[in-house]
Amino acid sequence: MSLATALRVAAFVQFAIAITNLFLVRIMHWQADVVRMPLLVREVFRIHSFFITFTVAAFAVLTWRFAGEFATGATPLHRWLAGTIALFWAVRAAMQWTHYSPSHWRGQPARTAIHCALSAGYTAFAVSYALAAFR
Amino acid sequence: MNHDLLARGLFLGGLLHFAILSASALVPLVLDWRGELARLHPFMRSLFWVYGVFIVLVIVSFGTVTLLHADALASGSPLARSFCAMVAIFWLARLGVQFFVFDAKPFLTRWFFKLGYHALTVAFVVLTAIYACAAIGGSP
Repeated sequence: MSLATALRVAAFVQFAIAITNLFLVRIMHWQADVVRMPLLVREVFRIHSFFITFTVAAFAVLTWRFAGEFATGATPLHRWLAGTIALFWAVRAAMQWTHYSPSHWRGQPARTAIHCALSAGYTAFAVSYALAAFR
Repeated sequence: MNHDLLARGLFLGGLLHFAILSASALVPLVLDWRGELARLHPFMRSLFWVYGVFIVLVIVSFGTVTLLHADALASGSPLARSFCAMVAIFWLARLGVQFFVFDAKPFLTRWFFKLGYHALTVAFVVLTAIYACAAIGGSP
């Protein structure tokens, strides 16, 4: 697979992640937890969730539109943006292991599979964008 | 629009990102996030901090890319216009939150909190304007 194709796949999956993030509370059945949050915390949580969704969707759109140029490292701006997105996903991949307690998934096959799939996906994003950044 | 003026404006925009981050660093302390979050389920608490870290990372990224590539971002290239449009929408949305979502009045108990809050509002307006100009009027 060429790097441009890998970046287009990454763009598509990132867009899917952004859309999923909008419905995460409902998908994970967190409504009761969110309702129990103090008002300010609930507002901050929703706003942060919105901005993360927007950013990931924007990364997806930029990547889809400029995949070919990112893949060739067309200009320093292309390389820096690719590096920025690589860093974003590298930190996300690291946090999957360092920040979340293993108690959320250990001993539960379905959750363990999701944890591993997310880790692999985030790492693949980071590697793809890093390759583009260091062209 | 004049390229050099726009590049200087973008450089100022890059610096403003770091100024906003400095002010935002006080928010968890002022609003006692640690105490408020202690009541949440551990997973939700983790998720809350992850979101916070990524918002900081995004703002650092916007600021760094702008400071290092202000000239390229003012060039009006398709990527420059797209990136600037993305940042302009980001800050426009943040401005909307400032006016229509958060009710900050109960927390503006001291003059320096009020000053900081209004300074942030001005910063959001300035950032939206600078990046919108670059998205629409960038030129080589």
